[in-house]
Amino acid sequence: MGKLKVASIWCEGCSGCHMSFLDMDERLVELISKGLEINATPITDLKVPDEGTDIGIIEGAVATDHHEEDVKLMRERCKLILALGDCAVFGGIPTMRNYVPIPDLLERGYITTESTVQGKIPTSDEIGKHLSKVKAANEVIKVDLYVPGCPPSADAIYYVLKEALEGRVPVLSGELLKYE
Amino acid sequence: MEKKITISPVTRIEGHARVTIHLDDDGKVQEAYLHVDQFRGFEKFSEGRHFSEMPVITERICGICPVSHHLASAKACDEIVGIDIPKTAKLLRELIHMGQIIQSHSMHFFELAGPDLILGWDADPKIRNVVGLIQANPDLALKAVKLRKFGQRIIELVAGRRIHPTFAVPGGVNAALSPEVKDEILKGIDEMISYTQEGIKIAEDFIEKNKDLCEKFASFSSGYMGLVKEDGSLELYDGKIRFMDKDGEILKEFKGKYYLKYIGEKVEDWSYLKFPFYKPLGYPEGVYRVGPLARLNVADKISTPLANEEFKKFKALGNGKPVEGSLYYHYARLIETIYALERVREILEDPEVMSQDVLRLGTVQNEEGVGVIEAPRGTLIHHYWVDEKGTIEKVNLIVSTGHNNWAMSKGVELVAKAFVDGKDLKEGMLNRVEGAIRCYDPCLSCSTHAIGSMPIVLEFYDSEGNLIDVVKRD
Amino acid sequence: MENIKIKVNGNEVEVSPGKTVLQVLKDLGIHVPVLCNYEPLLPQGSCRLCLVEDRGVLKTACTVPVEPNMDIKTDTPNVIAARKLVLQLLFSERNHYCMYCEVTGECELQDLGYEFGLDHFDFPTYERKFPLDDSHEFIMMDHNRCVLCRRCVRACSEVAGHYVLGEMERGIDTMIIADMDVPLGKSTCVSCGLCAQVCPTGSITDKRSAYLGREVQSDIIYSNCDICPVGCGMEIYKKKGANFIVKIYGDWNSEVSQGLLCKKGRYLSLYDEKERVSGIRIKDDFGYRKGNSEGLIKLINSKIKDAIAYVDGSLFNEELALIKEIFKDKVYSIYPVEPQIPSNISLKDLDTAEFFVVIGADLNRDYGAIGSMVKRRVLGKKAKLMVIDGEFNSLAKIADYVFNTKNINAAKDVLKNEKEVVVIYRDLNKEEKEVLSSLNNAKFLFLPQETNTIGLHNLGIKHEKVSAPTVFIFGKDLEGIKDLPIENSFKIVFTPYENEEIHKADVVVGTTNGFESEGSFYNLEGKTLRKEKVLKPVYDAIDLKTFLSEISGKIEKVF
Repeated sequence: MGKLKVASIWCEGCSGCHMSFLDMDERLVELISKGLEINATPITDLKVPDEGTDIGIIEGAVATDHHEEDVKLMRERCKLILALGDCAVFGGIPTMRNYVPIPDLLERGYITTESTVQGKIPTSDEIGKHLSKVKAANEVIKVDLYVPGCPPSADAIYYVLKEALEGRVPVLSGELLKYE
Repeated sequence: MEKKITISPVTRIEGHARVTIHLDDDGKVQEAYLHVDQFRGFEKFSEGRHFSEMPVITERICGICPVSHHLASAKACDEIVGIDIPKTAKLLRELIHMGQIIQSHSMHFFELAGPDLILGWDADPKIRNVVGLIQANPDLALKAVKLRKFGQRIIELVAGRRIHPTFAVPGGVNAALSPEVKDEILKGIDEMISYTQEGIKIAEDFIEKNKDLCEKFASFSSGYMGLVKEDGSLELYDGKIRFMDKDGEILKEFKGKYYLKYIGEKVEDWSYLKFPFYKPLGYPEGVYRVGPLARLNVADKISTPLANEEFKKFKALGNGKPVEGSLYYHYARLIETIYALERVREILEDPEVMSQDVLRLGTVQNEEGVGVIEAPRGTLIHHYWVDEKGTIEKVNLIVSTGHNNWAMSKGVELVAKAFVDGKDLKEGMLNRVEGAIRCYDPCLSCSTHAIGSMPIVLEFYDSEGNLIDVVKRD
Repeated sequence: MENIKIKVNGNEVEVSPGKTVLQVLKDLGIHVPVLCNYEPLLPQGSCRLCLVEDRGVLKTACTVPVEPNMDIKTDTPNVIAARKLVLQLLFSERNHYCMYCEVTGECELQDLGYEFGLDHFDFPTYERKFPLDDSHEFIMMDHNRCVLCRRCVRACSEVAGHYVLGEMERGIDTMIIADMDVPLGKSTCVSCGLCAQVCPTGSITDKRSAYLGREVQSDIIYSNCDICPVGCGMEIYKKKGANFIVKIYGDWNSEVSQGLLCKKGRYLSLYDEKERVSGIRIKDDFGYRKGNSEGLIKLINSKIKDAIAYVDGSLFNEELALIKEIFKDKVYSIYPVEPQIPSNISLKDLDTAEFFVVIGADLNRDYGAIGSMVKRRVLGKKAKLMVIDGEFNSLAKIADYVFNTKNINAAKDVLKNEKEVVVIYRDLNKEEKEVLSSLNNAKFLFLPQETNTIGLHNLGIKHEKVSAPTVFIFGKDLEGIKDLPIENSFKIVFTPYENEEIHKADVVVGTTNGFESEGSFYNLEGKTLRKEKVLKPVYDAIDLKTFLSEISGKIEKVF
């Protein structure tokens, strides 16, 4: 039972998977005491995972060029990649925009919505460029572990991290393997 | 020569954001912008779905406050079927909403904002987070975990699961309360109130020790908006919307479904998050804030005793005028948590909460429905248009953090001007800029109905685009 | 025929001929995953999940009949790999979003995913849009969730007999369609809902019961529908611990209906068709005042002497028995209950009939289950249909012969040449009765007006126009009240619904309705069926049986 360094990012997700991670409640403290080291995550202030991070956790689907860069960086820095939640594993709800042309999406959001006044489409360079198709993580990089769910239960997340801490490859089944 | 600092991403907030700070030749801050990245398109891709699916689709806008969306959506659906839901259903919906408030506020205070307040703005980024808190003060950290767990447990026990439950449906809710669940929740309330009061003590001590900072940090005038009960006291689930101006005068009160008359949204080129404003005053005079600080500003009192005591202390900070400093949001958040805990007890002690009559079956009666609720971060509005079969034709969402967009940007600008020295850039300065954003506990996934990501690297460019300095958090 | 010898997973077994490999494996207790297969529908073989290996060749167990020398292997690596590939293809072919689907947790595709440990997609997904048909009042059809199992097409034709659903195009463009590819809400669909019941995924769902709960969260109550005198068997899913019904399924094991339901039983039964009467109201000089049950019993006691009772066919046997006990022989039916020609067949006989005659009844609109039984034979080309009606009858569209009631003799000329005809009728005029009675090859099925009209007949309650100073009226539709000679009587009405006729009543008492009450009744075959109570009333309504028991104890027997 050595140390296990994990880092995480969230892409096109709702943060529900990270909340489910926190839903481990006291078990999170237990895992930390058993050697779980939490590196760069959206809820800590470190931005980029260390080289040689053991597990890189990705929440959310890949929807912009920024996301693609982020997941590729995770693949470089982390020994194993874990896709957490339906969005990262399958694509999830963000893919519902795949059937609507991007100009139509933006027009509804920024021009025709009833409360919008003098609408226009934001075009600054500071904001991300949308890919034409929202993708699952494994369509961009190689993924080693999958934990589906929307969100995956805290039990499933706890099981996976505990197995990894104890040096085993986790295999989800029964109540822990859910797509909802 | 223009210089620009980029903070990307902003951490310890929900969602994606970048901050750019533009400097003048002397390295002093000229302007600052909060760019909200990414956009998902819920308002468009929901078109064509059946309206009863909306509570379960729109809750996926956010994983921290799915219950708020779930309930606002269900309320809009209730209007579409034209049903006044049974009282038991109202009580149960409000019950999980209080669970949401408790969970979200406590998580924000202890785990997101807390590290700055408890460990310090300039603490080493490696430990300036929830894990650092666990190591520095395990006792407090455990209480924080338990408080969040209590709120989540309410949602889990009553609605079936903690995140993205299926519970509220058009016409009511789909399950009744069992006596065992009622007892389990009632048992825990007093302990949770005591933990929250510990948090209030930390906030009050911080305010005491940092009076000047609190008065000046991201402190500015604005309007305020929130729900209130008929008698003007704080309300988080139903009620009517109250608008207050920067001097504390009540400008208007109206039922949520008339929001289009009063709220408009402006688009700026440099952010995917729109800028809501109070239409009668125009933009930008009509900008306003929502959320805990705003709700306590617009309310006359709080209907539960312990929270009301704290409320009076809060009001005193403003001396008869609205409280303006952004840091007071953290204090207001905890006061609302006490109200939520006391309200949970009130709801569970109402005999009607145990009735099995939780659903009234309906058919499509109206082709429009609006649902309004106070999510942890502020007023949330769901508006649906359907055809006679119930197919969604149009959706308009104004999500809590959106109302605070202008305020966050303003806060960033003020704090950057006060603390950022372009000639001697330190990581802690930038953390304070982010801290301004964090006061608002923004939920940027919600507000852009989109998702964002969050790493931060600070890059310092000169006007020719040469990279001069980099400050990273590693 | 003698038994066949085959090998299954290395073991020799003897099986009877005429079975499919799947049936044999089931009998042996060997699990084979299935998706498009659904008893009692005929096998389809479209999903390919039930693949097994036989002498090196992959075959669909559901369609292949057993033959001698088979060497069936159900879990070789080849078989398992094939099934996993099929599953991956099924998930990626269309757009499956489990997280917000209303059948998540009880979806057969999802269960297969869990069974095979599918935890990611091998193929690119979510690229092609499929339509969502939300045009129908009760049924939602989301083609994004369709696995093209064709259960809906088979159920709509083989069992429900409506033949509305079909398929168009081929390969990846195959789509399930209604009629000639029109929106379901604009098609000839009669809303029987069987497609939604058999669909394995969330593709076809019941809009009304969306998100109300899962089967594991419900109590299942077996009951018979009491909306019409067929009395179809129902599986009622009531949410545990709460006072509402999640959904109603047809009971495949029902002696009466074998799984059939219609729009009325499955959907309309959950709504109150008219405004409910709440509480007790007593007429006084200013209109009506609210009464209570004690006051009502006193009033009844004072008026019971020389009182008579009118009843209709919505009352249960237990209620009718109590009314007879109280009013003795002074109980009359509001409308005539005598069948002009007594029924001499049961519903099961319809499944072998070769010529149907439907007179004066639109089976699509009323008696939906009988409509299904007739249509599945007729549209399945196993029987002919003659419709005789004086006004529009939607069955005329599919009939071989259509006659106006004035032309009954022309109809007879056709009928007398048939081997055997089944005459299904509601009401016959004098001429029709004469002509049809003269046929010597006819069997008859009488369609009573209400659920328990036969009960009125069996309990000896006749239709007579009688007057009395005080008249008690018990019933639901109260059709025919205005023809009774009771203008000047003191009227006490027990009914669940507001009705124009009862505005002239002196006392109106709201009674329970639908799933709030229970009792037994005689269906149109004369079988005694039972309707179960499932919900508590949300209106202030009295349970008639309980109330009648109370007053029959309290009333002095004056007669």
